[in-house]
Amino acid sequence: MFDPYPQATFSDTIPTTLSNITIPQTIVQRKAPKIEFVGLKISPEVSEFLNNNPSVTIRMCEITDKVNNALGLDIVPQLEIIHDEESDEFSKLAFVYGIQGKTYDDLLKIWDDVAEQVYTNLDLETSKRISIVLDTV
Amino acid sequence: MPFDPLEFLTTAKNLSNGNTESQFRTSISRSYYSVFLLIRDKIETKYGKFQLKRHGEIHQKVNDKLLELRLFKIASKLDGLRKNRRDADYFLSLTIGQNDAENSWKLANNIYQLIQASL
Repeated sequence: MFDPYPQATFSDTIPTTLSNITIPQTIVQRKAPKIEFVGLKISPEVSEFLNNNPSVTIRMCEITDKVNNALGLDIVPQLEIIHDEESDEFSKLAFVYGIQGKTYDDLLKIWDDVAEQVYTNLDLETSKRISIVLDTV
Repeated sequence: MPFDPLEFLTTAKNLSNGNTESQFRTSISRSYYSVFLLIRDKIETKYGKFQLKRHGEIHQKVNDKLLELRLFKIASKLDGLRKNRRDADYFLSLTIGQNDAENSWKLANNIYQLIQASL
């Protein structure tokens, strides 16, 4: 089947663990519109967001590492663009984690740790462009 | 006397015990607005009115202010609840169930407790 969004795999140019590594933005922007970040499947809409928000792009792996550290799990999040229905100027990238084997009450406690770990050392502008969502599966 | 937005939280709880998707969707929306309005008013009382170019900006402005105040737990959870509310209010192709309404109420109630402790 014809794939209008040929995949680009970053694993040959970018190490698996990207924490504290600055990725040249040109690498991210010049690749094909559908990006695969070592298991992260990215839709054309998310890809466009990442191209327009390189500060988020270069910290994606750091963010997912921190969430997984806080969760004590290794989960690949679903990435979604959240548009503000009341203000069409704004959108942000949501990292949505579906977690098995926990109650929602458990997640509310874990969410506090996740928020602290992710946002504490994240610059404010990047913080405003992302959202972390935990949910039961 | 001004309306207390926490009354929305009670309404949300009642609606989450209902049996129609309309009730579940409305419950989620009221859960969000109960804590959103409470936070907005607390911030405006302490730091002054938000300056808005457009009325719809207020949701993001409130979330941004929470991040600036380094109230990360509240900011992140309110953001998650806002996503639930957006799904409930705008996306008719999604099926919204009682569990969604109950979880959103729990999330709002948890945010309320965090507000009491830190804002």
